[in-house]
Amino acid sequence: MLRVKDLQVDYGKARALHGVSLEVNQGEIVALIGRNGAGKTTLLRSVTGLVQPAGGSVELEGKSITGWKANRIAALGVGHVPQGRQVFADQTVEENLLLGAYAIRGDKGRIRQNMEREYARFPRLFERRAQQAGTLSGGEQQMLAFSRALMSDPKLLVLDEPSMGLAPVIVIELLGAIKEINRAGTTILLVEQLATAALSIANRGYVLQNGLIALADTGQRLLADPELVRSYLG
Amino acid sequence: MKKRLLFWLSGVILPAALIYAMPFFFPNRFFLDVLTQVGYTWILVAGLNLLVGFSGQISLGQVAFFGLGAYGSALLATRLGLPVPLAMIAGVVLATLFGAVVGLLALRVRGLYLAMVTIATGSLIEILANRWIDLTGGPMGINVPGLGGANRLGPVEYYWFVGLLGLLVTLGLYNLSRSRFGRTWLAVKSSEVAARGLGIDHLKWKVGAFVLNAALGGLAGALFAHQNARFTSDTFTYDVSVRALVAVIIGGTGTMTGPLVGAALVVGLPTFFRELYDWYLLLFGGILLATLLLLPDGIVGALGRLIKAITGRKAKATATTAQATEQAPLPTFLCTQGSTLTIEGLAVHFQGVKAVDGISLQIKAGEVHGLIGPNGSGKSTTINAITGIYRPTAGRIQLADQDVTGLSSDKLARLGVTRTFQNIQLFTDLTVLENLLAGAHRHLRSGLTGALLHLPGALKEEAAFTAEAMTILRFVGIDHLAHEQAKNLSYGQQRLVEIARALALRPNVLLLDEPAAGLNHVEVERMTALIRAIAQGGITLLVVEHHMEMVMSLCDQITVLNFGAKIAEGVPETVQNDPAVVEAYLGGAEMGALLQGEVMHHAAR
Repeated sequence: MLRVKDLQVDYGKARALHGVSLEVNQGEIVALIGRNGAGKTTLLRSVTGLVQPAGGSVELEGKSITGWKANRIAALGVGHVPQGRQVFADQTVEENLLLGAYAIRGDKGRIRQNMEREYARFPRLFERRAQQAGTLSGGEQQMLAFSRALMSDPKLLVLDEPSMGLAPVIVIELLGAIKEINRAGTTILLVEQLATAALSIANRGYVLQNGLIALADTGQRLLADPELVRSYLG
Repeated sequence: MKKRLLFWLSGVILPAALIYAMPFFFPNRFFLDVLTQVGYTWILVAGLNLLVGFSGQISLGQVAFFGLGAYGSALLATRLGLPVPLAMIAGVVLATLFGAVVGLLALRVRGLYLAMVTIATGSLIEILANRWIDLTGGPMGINVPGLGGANRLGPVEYYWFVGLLGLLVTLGLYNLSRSRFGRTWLAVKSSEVAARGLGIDHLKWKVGAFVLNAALGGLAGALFAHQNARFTSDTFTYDVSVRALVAVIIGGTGTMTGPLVGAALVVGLPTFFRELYDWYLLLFGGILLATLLLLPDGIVGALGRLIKAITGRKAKATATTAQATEQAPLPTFLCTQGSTLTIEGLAVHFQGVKAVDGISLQIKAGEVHGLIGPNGSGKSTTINAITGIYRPTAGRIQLADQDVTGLSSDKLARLGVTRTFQNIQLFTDLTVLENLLAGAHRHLRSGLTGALLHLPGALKEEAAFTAEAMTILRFVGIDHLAHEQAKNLSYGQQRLVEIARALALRPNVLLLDEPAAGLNHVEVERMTALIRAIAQGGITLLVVEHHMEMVMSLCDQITVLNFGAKIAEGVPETVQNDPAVVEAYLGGAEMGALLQGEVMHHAAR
């Protein structure tokens, strides 16, 4: 599904990624963990086109999308839940969801169906559907950003710390939801600070350190050696 | 020392020599007039550059201050017979006072609306100049005495006088920009809510920038008025305001030499391409468009980048592996007895939505109090109400024995109550160290004169607080990042900067909104140790957090909210086992297991 080869990215003057290669196969959940500043968000942003790489390549379903703009990549079926939510603050919850369905505009029936599915996933969003997104609490905005990305049924869903700011009960629901979406056919690339939780739902995991892949293995095997993983997180 | 010498050479001696030498290169009257015009336009543009580049406001009414300075000085000299230097000063004072009035009026509006208010002000002066002919002479003009009385200064001397003033103004503004004044303006521009949370009265600072800009506009006007023996109202059109803004942008907003470059261009181009007079607006438009598209930070900004690219070292990779050392205790100068914060019946309603509805809680001096609850239960609203961002609909907030209900956040900060933000609010244009110095705002005393002239007192104060800030940075473990731009740091580092900045205020009460968000479990442990050290120094802490390990290990008392009301309160063990809390928030045994990574196969089923 996604193949990243020797990716290099400069942020301002400093190099954030020094040649990262990773693969996400069709139907997988892949978790990306690492300490703050390791380059996780940068990697996600260069996959979805929000950052232009300085070198290396990104392929989606065998086709090079290196250096493509974010809107073109999104049109190929890549959904992104960015760090820090980025909801459309002045628009209502429902309008945010409708904007998330931009890629399937025209298909009214499917939009309606998807919206019902998301409201069922987070009943809180249904309660607040007529409220401006900017007036939601931080955690509610996180739910909205998640649901908005799912409105267009992406092939590949890129999640940047989806649990941030969520109450423990909701985190459990969210992790369940990620599994469920995956089973319904969406491939997932996940950055998450709750490392053990992320690895436990992931098929495979990568540990990023100082802009390089330090460790790659199946989720189970990485979980089995918490001390090893831990040494890369501090 | 070498740096100082370089500054005197390139910033004072060389420009002064150039200003002095110009008349010898261009010894004719026409060029001297143009040079003089560049000189006072430089001052006009420098003022606007301060307003736009530092305080983030906009004015399209510079002609008002320019006109008031000109007519104020001219009329006081002719009608009241004031000596010219005195009349000039009076003209500047008049423009300054008017600037204060407009600034106060304009406070309520910002952005587009502020621009409209200033346009209207400019038109007002333009109309007065043209129509109040008895006073101003209108288009017929007004005769003015020159500087120097009977031995009126010749054009060369007058040019030297204007050029010298331009240089002095620029040097003063340069000093100002590197003092707490420049820092505070940039802080307000970058995040008003954070600036207020550190005790910065943003309104006062915005009006201050407006007044300073008006004063410089008035000075430029007064210098214009006495350049020749006569001037007419034709000069005072909207065009003056537009040209000033164009000069700021072309030169490079917020740069120090930009105003001179911009002024030289907007004066020089129409003058030397006089045969293209009908075209010069088009020419300006073209230059402005090209600047905006190709050189977004103006000519000087672009040159600066070019020079840096050629000479600059390729930046060191910021692979800054923070060492996992033992957490040091809180620096002694931050240690305090804390203050008890009492909240009674607090309610915050938004258009019928009861975000918080009658919460009472007491945070005892020196204790760590946790505030938890489901998303949207009113935690952040509570913090916002306590710190004066929202006005409570009902209820009472008491700090020690003082009623602080409804106080604005900058007033609360000056009483020692500050906070961090869920969505980090750093001053992104400033370095890490400067962020902390902005945090120390309430302790800084040096005034405008000290900042303008870099007087020893101001420098000493700056040095003392820089040392203090470095100690705080060492305490949170990021002293190696002191000179980085805040925006270049990773999320976790930015969180630490925000906490360090709050500490620089020397708070009695500190509210932390989700300090662990975006941190992995090793980083959370370090953050927990850091917060514990802050607590042991005596600072009263209120922590909103979803990371239960942190909350349970850190807090003396926990209050649980749901639907804007309190549903439980007590020590961690009590709260953890409260069925209502488990049901609404914790999610039972599953959550405990989640962190061990066991539950997910289960949740995934």
